[in-house]
Amino acid sequence: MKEDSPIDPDLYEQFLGLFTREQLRIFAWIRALVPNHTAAADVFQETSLELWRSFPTYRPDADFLPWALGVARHQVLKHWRIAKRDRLSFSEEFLRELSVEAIGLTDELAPRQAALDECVQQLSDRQRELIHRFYGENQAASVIADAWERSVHAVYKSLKVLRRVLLECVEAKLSEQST
Amino acid sequence: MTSREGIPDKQEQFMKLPSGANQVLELAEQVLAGTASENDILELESLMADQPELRRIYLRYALVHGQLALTSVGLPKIRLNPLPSSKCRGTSKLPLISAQRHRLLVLTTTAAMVLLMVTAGVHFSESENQRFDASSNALELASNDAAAGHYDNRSLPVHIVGVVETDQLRSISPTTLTVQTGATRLTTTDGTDVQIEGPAMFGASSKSEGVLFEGSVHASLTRPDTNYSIQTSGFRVADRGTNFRVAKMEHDRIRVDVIDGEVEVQSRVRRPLYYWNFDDRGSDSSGKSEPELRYVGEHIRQVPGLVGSGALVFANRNEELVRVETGTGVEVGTGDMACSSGISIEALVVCRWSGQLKDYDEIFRKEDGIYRMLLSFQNDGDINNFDFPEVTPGPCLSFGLHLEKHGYSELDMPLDGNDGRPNLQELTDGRPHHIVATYDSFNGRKAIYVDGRLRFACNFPVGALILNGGPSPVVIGNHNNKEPFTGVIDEIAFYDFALSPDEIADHNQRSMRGEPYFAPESSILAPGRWRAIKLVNTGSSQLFDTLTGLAIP
Repeated sequence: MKEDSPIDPDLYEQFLGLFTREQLRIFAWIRALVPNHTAAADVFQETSLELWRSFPTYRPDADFLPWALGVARHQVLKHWRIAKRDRLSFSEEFLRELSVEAIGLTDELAPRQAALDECVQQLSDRQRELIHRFYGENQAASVIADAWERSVHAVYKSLKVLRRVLLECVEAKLSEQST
Repeated sequence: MTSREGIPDKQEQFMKLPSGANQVLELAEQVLAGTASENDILELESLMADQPELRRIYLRYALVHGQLALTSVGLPKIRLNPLPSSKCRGTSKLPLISAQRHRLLVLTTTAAMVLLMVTAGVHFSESENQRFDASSNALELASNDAAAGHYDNRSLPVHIVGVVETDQLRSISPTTLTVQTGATRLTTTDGTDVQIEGPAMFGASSKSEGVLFEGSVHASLTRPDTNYSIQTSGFRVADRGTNFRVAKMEHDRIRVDVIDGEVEVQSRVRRPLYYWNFDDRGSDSSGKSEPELRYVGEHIRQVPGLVGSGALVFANRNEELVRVETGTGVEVGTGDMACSSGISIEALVVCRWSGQLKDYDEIFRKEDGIYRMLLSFQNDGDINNFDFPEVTPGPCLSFGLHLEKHGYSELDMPLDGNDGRPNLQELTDGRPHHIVATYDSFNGRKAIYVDGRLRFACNFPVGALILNGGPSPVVIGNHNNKEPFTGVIDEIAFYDFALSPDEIADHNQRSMRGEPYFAPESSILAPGRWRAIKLVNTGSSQLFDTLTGLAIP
């Protein structure tokens, strides 16, 4: 804020208290949607400013994080609208529909994570190593291919098989639980 | 468009997938792999447009992708709390990441990943595209990798430490703030209010600690469940109350004013964060007395130590390495190995490196993208242009580090025998050599010592913070299964401060006598990183001499 801008100290303290508590989660959320770190930092910067500007519209009895993510989502979409000219994307109309479906998955998150945890334990050592390298260590497929002396294509194929097997396993477990 | 062999029909039947589901999954896979063409995106959208069930399948598949990183296998091993020295050699395990924090990660990452897939083709970053490019040209990449020394040049996320208020709010990663006039306000992510009073130079190194290089700073805690401390060279002022000021004065003095509550002034315990002596590996793949070490490769032999009862022999085999399974963090700037104001890496080695072009022998390396740190023998013809200062290409001992505002660079000490530097023959004479690499942000000096003497150094501006830490484990004796060490490695120590020349000379003398770096009575296993000197109470001020570590009456 500029020094000559009038700031309500109480409002500002309230904002800072809420913002500092949640900003890591907000930043993580943005970074996942905008994986490039520099771009994500820019979006976060814009989001921080927009949150403060919009703070008078925040209702104190509501959860701060969902409200903040709503603001952040607009910034993310704005970013992608600008970036769209050189990237592939679904149509905006379709994205809106798919967003509704995604929100409908909220209640499934926990049981699916639990089922996936169990399914992963049933994998071979090699498959678990692949998960560890690709998802845990964020190693590029080319690095894994190098270490395993296989082609990059083979690594991608293994990942595909892995994900399909796990989807099947998760669905089977959830189906068992519901019967 | 790539071929779509699909999953056998029996799986479709087992999962009761509707018609078109396999096609959706195949196309979703292209999206995940970053290989979806414009036609793929159009086809996928067309398939799902009027089919809510197919959209759910698509999202559930995306969820597998999103949640895999959060499984016990996918999650990097994260441990909290700084490792006290007593744990360096001990057997007790540190507590794993708390369930609450784990759940937070699960929820935020999962929600993000679902939305990530919602945005389908738009969400792939440059790195993902690079990954796809690599897959289409694997041989070329492998060749470039070899030439480049297997550097992972990703820019990993850096931890956010607070929000700075200037003409606008700006979130910051660890950085040094220079304030010419007036005051600049920093609010840490823990809620501590820090006023940097110009002229001043202050390193915002973490949410709970800052580094004062020049001037004064006023800290005010707003939450009772948090702590904040301010470090100066060799000193730390830790809050035991709510409101205090630290000022750096002339003549190596600091002044501490306590407005409210009390603070504890502390001196640094000059012992390593980690110390591995390899004295008791045992017969299995993990060390008995050093359980955080994981030995990979059947041929790593334990021999009588250069110091103590054990040391490790590496025989230049790609599969051999020792991985340190602790000290990692989620982001750069986190984890027990994240340093800010200073660092030292110390080792005792018998080196049998060839010195040949493209041959690398790693002593110590943590590869967190461009925030890596390494100590290794290299001869790569300076293909990466990492050397600072510029040196003539050839065999060198390299100390790599990322400094904020300066990026990653390597202090490449030529092994040419000139200007007091050792030559390759001296270092590969079959005898043990004591090697220490240090960086000190308080004077900007980055240095390499061999056998107790300073051999090569360069200077950065005072106040350049280290950016390191993050998700990758430290590997001893290798990197990426391509840069195996040849010789003996013993007594590796890792410090979050720069050892002094006198300390290094002393450690060298002791190790050459076959003794540990530290005198027995000095207690290697000191329980804390800082030792209390004096409490300063509300309304009082106290001067301290930073050289003697004493309060000045």
